[in-house]
Amino acid sequence: MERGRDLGVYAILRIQHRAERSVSAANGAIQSAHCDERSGMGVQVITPDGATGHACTDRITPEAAERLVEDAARLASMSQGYGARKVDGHQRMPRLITSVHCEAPMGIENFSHEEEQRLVAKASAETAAIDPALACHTAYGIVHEEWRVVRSDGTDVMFNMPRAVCRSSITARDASSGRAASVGAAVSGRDASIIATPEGWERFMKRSRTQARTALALLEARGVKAGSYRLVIDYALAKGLAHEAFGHSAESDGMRTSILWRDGKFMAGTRVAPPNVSIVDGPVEGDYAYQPVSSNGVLRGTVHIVRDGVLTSALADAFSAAEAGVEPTGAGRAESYRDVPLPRMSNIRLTVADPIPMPRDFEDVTPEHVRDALVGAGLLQEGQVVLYLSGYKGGQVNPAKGDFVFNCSAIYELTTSAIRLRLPAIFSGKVLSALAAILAGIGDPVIDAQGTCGKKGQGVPSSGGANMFLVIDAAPDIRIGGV
Amino acid sequence: MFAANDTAEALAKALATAAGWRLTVTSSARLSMGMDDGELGGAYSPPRKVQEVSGSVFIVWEDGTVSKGLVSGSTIEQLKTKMSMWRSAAYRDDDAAHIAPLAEPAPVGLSDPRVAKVVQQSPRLAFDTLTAIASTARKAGADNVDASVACAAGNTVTATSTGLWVSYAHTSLSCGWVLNKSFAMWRLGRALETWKGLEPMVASTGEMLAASRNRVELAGGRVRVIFWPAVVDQLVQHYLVHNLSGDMVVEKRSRFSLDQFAAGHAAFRNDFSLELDTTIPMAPGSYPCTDEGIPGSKVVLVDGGRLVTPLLNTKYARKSGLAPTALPAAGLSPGYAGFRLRLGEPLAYGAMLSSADEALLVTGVLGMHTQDPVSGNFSLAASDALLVKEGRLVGAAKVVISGNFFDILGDSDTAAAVHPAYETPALAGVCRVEA
Repeated sequence: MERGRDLGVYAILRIQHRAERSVSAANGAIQSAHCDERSGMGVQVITPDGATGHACTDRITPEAAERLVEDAARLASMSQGYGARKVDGHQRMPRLITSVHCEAPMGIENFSHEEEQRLVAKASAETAAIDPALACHTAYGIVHEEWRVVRSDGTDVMFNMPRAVCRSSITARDASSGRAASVGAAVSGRDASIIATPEGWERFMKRSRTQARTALALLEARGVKAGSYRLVIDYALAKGLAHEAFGHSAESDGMRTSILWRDGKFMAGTRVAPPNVSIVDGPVEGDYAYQPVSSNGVLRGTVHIVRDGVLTSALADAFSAAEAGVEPTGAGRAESYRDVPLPRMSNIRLTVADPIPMPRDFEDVTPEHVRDALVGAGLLQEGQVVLYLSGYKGGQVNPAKGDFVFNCSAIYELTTSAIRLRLPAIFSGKVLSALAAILAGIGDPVIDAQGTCGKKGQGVPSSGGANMFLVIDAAPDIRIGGV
Repeated sequence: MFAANDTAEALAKALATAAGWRLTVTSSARLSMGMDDGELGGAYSPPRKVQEVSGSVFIVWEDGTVSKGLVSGSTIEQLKTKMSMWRSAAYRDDDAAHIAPLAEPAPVGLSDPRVAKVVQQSPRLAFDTLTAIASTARKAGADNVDASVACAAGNTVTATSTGLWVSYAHTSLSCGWVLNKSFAMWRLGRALETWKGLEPMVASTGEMLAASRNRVELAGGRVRVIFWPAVVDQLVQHYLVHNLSGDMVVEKRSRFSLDQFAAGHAAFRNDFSLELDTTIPMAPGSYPCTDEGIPGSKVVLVDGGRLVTPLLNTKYARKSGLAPTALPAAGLSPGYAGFRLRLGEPLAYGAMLSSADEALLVTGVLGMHTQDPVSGNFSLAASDALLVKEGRLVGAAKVVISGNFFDILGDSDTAAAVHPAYETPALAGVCRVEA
């Protein structure tokens, strides 16, 4: 900070320490295990003229910090000669001195690596043993990140982000026909309790067993005819929809091109969904993607992006909030000390008020339960076909065009008289059409769908969810592609 | 900053009592900058400089257990703590607990001193290149330009307890542009020439953008689709590299089995071949040896449509009873990593396009990573598939294309075409198209 003052620049210093352990096993045999720690720091400077530069190193010493300030200031100064975009808003970030600590009772220092290895090998072995046609690769990772953010205005903030995830990739393969299908099962949270407590273990294995059986059944499944259908999507797919298709469009760095902005301003007040739909993003303690403070040293807020169907608030950081005409919400997140923070989500959830009841745990819900709930609510009638998309296999969105695609693990073709398993196919369409077509929610919200957000090449943990299921009406702009 | 050599030497000394070890340490400096919505820099794409030491270490302990660890700039100072941490995370993996015997690294040049100078002393060339890309893009009709450039210079040491000690300098450059958030191109290389001669490439991206402004209605159905080389790269990575990876094959998560490789199973058309060459001078994916000390080389994976070998590191080579192979450099698309795909007698890309009576040119897709790599089935959205009529780009439409990549490769009507800007060919084959 002193060197920054000498050079007449505003500086933001970010120091990160990351401890991590991982283990993977294939069909019961440990494939890899890893344990390490890594630290580094990055400095972003802003000149009085608004030019900015960034420099970082994995050496944390006062001398190295001074050099970073000098390097970043030199790059910032040079960029001015090329008409670089001016940075504004840092002066309006509130000064903050605090330390936020998230407890992780079974965190990286409180649980043994040997036990992690045993559990991961066991999960992989038990899943593969369900059928000789199955192979299972299970990967587990536990991370403890600590950050310190210091700014020229005196801000000095420390916070930690513990997290853990365990994921099985399950492949079913029919040697005689050559057909194959792959599915996944995952659990996530703040620490090893996701697999090390009886409840966590049972939840993970229940998901793994269900998915393994689905993979086997998919070997005999046929494709679904491409077209527009009334759809049911599970909460993980709904999280994908909320995150990829909607959350990114509400981020303030996309103000010039994203579909939720017009002439650089957020379209607050616009109805984008039925009155019973809300979308909220914000940190949830104990969640996989928990981050209490932004990487710019501002407390992260809980943001009602859509309230009762109306676009309300954007996800914004100080750098773009004023230009976009929205309030900053402390949305800046960075993958590491190497990166500059971007406005982005943490835990996003899409909920529908007054959902159709589903009085059982999500893991216990079968396609028959979903079908019966639809019939009971009058959303599936004689002669009608509804497609139930199960399991999230990733997605992608173009926020400028509002196009999205998602894939699922399996599709169930539901009619009042039969349920047929179909091969997965992409669910694609227009973001706003999908939101407007939400008919109902089924069950209470489940918000532990986990992923990694890869915006601008930076991978940060993301999570979220929705009611157990969302019902989306058929619309010309929402398609199920064939295979 | 400690140089790679210092860190490697300190590590080798500390590891002397282990039963075996290997390490790779890289010290590097990287300069990058970007442009969002036509403006250079700003809060989200500022000019940036990264200096760090990175790498990995693999240790075989006296009791036969193994450990993996990461190397950073602070490893030397924390060596005692690191060794203790790595020891505590040891696990048993008998197939992995071996260090490759000493072999001569491949003699391959990877460094351009002019690039190192840009990184360390004269970043103006990076700024100039970025602004030139934007200027050309605007002239080509783009209303909105996102672009980036980056360059890096470093030194890597790879060493093993079996006597390997190879130290080499390397450089890299990249640049890329996206016009109107729709049409993109990416260049990667090791020599300064990577940043030169970009104007025709940016202009050709602009031609696609211009054609896409005429939105057309398509009937759909079975349609001949020309996959742009960058899309073929994605298909090769997702479907071929995945299924040819040794860990996937050995763990039975691949489409192909070890028995099929042993039998030379005819998995593709007999004029299809795929090889990996990591010894092409100054190529982004080349190297003297892998992290395990296996020399860079040319590996034939599929020849005459028949499976030859999976990509095997030392562990999976041991598990499969086959010889270890060179491996693709991490993080690179197949063309840049050194994969070379051949299918029949390739046309020139221009000839493929001009001879197309009616086809769809797909230059980008959404959702590749969501597809099942084992089955080969795909179902992908393309926001701006370009309609080709009588050899000309005449319009664009949003479509969903679906099919099976292995079926397309096996179809006798599928053809490949060489594009001068890419190592991976364009492919033309029939897909199901939903408009």
